[in-house]
Amino acid sequence: MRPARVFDASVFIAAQRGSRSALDAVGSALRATPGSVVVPTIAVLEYRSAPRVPARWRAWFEGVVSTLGTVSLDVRAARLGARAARHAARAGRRLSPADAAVVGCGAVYGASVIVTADGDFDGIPGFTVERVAPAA
Amino acid sequence: MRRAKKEASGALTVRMDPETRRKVDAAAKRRGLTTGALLRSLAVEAAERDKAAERLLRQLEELDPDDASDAP
Repeated sequence: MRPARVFDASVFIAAQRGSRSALDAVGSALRATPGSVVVPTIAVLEYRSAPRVPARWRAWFEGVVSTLGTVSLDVRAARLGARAARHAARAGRRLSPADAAVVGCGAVYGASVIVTADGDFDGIPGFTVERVAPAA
Repeated sequence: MRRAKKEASGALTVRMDPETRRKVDAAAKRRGLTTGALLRSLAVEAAERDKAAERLLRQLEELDPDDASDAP
């Protein structure tokens, strides 16, 4: 069975910018087995925070989120995310609270792959990173 | 012929190994459903999800790229 994947908000932003690899990643997610790809609610917050997302992209994003499903930041996810942030800090890297939340949510969901356009998730124990191009 | 008759009647036989069967039975029991009802509801959900996914993929092809310059 393919390992579950957790999508960072940067993938959706990259797709909006026309990144072919991001568009392909979202397309594959929509064709994947139900439950094998999940969007953390923090990614919804991040994507929806941009003040000028065109209405058609926003509607599409909401459809994707509702089709793929979400995982919320509960206390366990927060603890696991904080552990990843500490690990990154010890290695001299910074994992932002939002990125740590993505890791924590992914861990709680049982995902082992983070799909992202950022370089911030490299070297997190228990996860491999699938990187998409940030723009076309 | 037998298959066609069965399809027309809506009946379906699903074979699984004993361990999978135990897991599926337990999942159905937790939800207060029969095993058949659970499998049916999951299959219908998957079909509806596929329909939504196809619609989203079509929409994606029609969306114009945007610079997302204000993205966080």
